[in-house]
Amino acid sequence: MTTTTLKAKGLAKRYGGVQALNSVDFECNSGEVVALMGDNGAGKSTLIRILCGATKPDSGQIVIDGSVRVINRPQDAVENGISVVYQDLALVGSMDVARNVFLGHELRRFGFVRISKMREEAKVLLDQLKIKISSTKLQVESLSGGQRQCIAIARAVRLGSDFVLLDEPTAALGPEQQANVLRIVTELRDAGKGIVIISHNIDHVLAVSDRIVVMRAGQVAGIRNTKETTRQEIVSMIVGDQSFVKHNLQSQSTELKGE
Amino acid sequence: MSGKAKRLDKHESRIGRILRAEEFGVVVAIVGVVIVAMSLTPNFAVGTNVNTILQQVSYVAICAAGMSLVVICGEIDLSIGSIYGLGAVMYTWLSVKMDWPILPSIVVTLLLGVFLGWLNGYVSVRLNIPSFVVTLAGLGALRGATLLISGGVPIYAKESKTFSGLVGGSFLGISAQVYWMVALCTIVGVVLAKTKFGSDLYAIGGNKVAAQNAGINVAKVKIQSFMLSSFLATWAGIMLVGWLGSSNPLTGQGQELLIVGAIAVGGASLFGGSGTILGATLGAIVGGLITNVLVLVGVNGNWTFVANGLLILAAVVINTLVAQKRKTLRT
Repeated sequence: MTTTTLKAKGLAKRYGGVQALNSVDFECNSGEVVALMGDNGAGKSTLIRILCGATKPDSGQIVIDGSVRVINRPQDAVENGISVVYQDLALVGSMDVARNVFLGHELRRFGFVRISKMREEAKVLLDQLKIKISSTKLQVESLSGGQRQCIAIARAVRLGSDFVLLDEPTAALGPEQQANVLRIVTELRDAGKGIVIISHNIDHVLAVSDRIVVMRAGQVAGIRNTKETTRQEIVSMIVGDQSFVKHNLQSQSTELKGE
Repeated sequence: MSGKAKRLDKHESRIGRILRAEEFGVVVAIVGVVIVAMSLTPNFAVGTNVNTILQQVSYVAICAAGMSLVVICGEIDLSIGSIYGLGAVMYTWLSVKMDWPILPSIVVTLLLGVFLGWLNGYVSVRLNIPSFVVTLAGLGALRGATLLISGGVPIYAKESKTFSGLVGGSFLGISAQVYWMVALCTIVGVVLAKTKFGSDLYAIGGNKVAAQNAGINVAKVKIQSFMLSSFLATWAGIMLVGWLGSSNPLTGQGQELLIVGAIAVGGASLFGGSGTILGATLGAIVGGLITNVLVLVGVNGNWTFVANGLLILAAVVINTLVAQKRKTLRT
């Protein structure tokens, strides 16, 4: 399997007086899971939004396999093999599973949508990803949060993307459903996809990722191979102060005084 | 799954499918009204009366089929009755007052209708103003324009046996309007159920952000729905002139209520995302049946307005309750 690399070089984005991203370099290879961690406002979501074409950076480049790509719209990202799974922003509850999997990219013949063909193919795709849904005719709003997340991921996969970006895929799910989503993430990696996952849950990150990129105040605070790091180290990178972690209680009270 | 369980599952899903079908409620309503009507008067279940009901309902049904597209994508067109009336008056004004031949008069009137739909859609969608407000303004302004063009009096249509036969004649004992209703509602129904445009409408009405993220051009699709709806309403107005032999500047006043009613009774959500053309057509028929029964039993004609108002309210309440139930019931 040849390795494809998604690279971001020197990305910067300013919102009014806030430097959301400041010269960020980022890399994800096919067949690996890169976790993006960091506090709220660290710049994770801005980075994802730039990679998927939802936000235009002030400066910087996106490079895939050595060539610079212009990604100004979500459509550009899809054409360059990058798709994003938004939480609850990807599915239409009142439509069935098959139509959601094919949303915006329906199979057609002579101008007519091929519903039964879409149901068949959706079923095959869900089986491949071992997503258990009894029928592709079910309305999405009748499914659980975990099943919905899986369908959203399946849609990204169907677009044939090399890179799938997941923004908090396990938030607001029950433990069993979380495990299911994480299983699919590893399955996609094993199928050669490059996965970028934003998560606040360090257990999930340690369980599925190959690399962890920690962001703080719009910059990359550090990159670690998951196998060679510890929970302690990651947390301290997120908060940005070793002693803060060691003397957790003490520094919490200091912070309160500081405010 | 064992053979028995499989059979049971299939059996259940068939009944479930019928119960869950969006048209289920409206079919029950039709059956109910028909039973009441037949017990009240022997004149109801007569072939000619059934044809009369369908003939009278056809104009509302054609408009409702078009406006279903607008409602399904989460918008509304309250100016639809005024556009219908303007279609009727504009056609007679061009063909009689301007003395144009019939065909160009029809074509130009239809183009005007499509333009008005575009205008409603453009102002609502591109300028991000609720279509409720934009088309309410249109309801007033276009009615005024219709009164001004006609001088406030009926205009007698240009004589044409071909045209009046085509839109007001009858074939095999069934009125031409009924054929038009079936044909146009079927076409719109197929467009909605089987094309990408229809799929996009449901997606936009169901979750606008998701539709946008999936690469659907939300604004364009919405504006197209307004244009199609307006086109059909204008054509319905022209058809009416071909049958009656004249246009009346007050044609279609209050018709928006009947059209919205037909769509709601047909099982669509007025908040978008659901509804079918079959449902809207049957919904229009329910309205027509009730009006007909009230006329046959000889109550004061103004009761039909009360009945239609209550019908809409009942339909919306039932639809809302059913939708809530569906959400809580995890199938």
